[in-house]
Amino acid sequence: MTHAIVEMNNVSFHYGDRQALSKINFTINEGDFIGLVGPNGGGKTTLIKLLLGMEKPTNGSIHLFNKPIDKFKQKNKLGYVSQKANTFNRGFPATVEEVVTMGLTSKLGYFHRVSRQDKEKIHHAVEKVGMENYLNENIGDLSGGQQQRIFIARALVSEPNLLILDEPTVGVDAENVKKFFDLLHVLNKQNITLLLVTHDIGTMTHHASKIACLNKTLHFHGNPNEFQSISKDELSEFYGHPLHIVTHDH
Amino acid sequence: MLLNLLEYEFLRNTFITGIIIGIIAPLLGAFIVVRRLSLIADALSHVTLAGIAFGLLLEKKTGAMLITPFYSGLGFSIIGSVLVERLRRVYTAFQELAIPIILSGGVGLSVIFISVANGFNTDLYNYLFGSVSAVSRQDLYSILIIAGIVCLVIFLLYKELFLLSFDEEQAVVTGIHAKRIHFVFIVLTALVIAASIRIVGVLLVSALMTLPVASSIRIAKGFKQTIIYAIIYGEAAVILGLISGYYLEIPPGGTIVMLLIILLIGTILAKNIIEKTKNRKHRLNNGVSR
Repeated sequence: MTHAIVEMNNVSFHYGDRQALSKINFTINEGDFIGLVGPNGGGKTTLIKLLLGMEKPTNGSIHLFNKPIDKFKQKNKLGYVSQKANTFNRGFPATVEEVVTMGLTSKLGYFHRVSRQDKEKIHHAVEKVGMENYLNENIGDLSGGQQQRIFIARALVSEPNLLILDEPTVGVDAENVKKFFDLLHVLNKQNITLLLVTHDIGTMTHHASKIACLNKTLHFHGNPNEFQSISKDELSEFYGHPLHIVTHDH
Repeated sequence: MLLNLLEYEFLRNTFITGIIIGIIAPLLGAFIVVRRLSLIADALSHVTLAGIAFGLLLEKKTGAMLITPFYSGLGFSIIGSVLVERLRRVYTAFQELAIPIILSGGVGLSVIFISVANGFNTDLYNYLFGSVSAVSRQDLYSILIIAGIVCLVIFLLYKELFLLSFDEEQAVVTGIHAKRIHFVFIVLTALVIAASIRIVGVLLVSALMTLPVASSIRIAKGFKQTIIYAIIYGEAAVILGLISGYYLEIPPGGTIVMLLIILLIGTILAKNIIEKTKNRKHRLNNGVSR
């Protein structure tokens, strides 16, 4: 039986006077691979910030793993690969191992240092993303696609149940995007629930098991086949401007 | 100097202090550099100068040592660090504005205190450029305590400080209290500056925090290695700088910083030569295989 690990009930959010999200009802079940699409400024990143507890909803309630979000303390159950992962300071002197170790910070808690068992977890996470030969390389010396994998390893090291990825394929070339999705499918099969935020609708319909479309309100939340059957005009109306969907046929 | 070391207590104090700050200044400096806060050390050192001037003024006016310049400098430095953090929150979009505000405030106050005290004396000169004979036993004990606090806090909060330096957003998502850690960090910086001023002086203390890191970042793999190399550079410059400063009768601030700059230039040149040689070998090998 699938059960909900994220439930947003009637959630609204305002930045000052500007409404960013309105009456969102959104459920993520264990094992889902959800593509969250929508126009820029449609509230995708805001929704993620709410899920991560970085912002509090103006109205409505959020439950994570059956607990109200303000009582939810097991932050390691959520893995997050931020959009900013692409824009970090490339000159920063940190090895791949050091970057992945950062993923254990919340699990270990204050004043605890990394043990030998933790090291094994780190090496295991790096193996999962196929970067075990780069452990001692500086992160800035790797290619965009490789860095992306390291940031996923960092999110995986705390053994999360839900992995949230915000625009992870921006700046990654086509070949690496394919490898990246192959990796996501492997992770999904290992029972990691995925929420992937992107503006690239075409790619998502091929990979995700469900598509959620967000433009202040959540307009659609179903499987990709249903999503593809929506007419282009309907979708353009939702986006607020004419839409050109690039399909990625394999 | 080495023989004199055994003979004179003040030289021993200076030498031990030098070795300690050769560790803690680059250790904290590594975090300062990667967080792009290199200039904050300068701002805080100038606030420390105001504190020292205040201590010297009190000493002169009251004739008694109510509070030694070391402690008044330390106090001002900590207050300055709190103000820097406050200002960075007021100007979130222009956080570097905190630096000129605090720096000029520090210099302004120093000028006022120095004028009220009727100008410079050798003591103040020592505080500006460092001295080989300025560390009292009491100062040494205070510096040992500061070093203990700095090393312990960095040991305990290493992973939080590191994550916060690399990726502040991720740190917040992880549940780290970013503001509290920032605050602890900036107070540590103030402590290290106050501890280092006796040896390298107000004007050059930020160099001891940042120049060793500038050298080590060129050659290190990863952050821990950056810290270790930075400490090695720092120690080399402090020890050689103190010895040469003593013999040449130059304030050690000058000799230490010039040694750090020579080491930096040497490292940059050596790295370039090694890379060029590597590339040439690589090209030759490719040529042969073709």
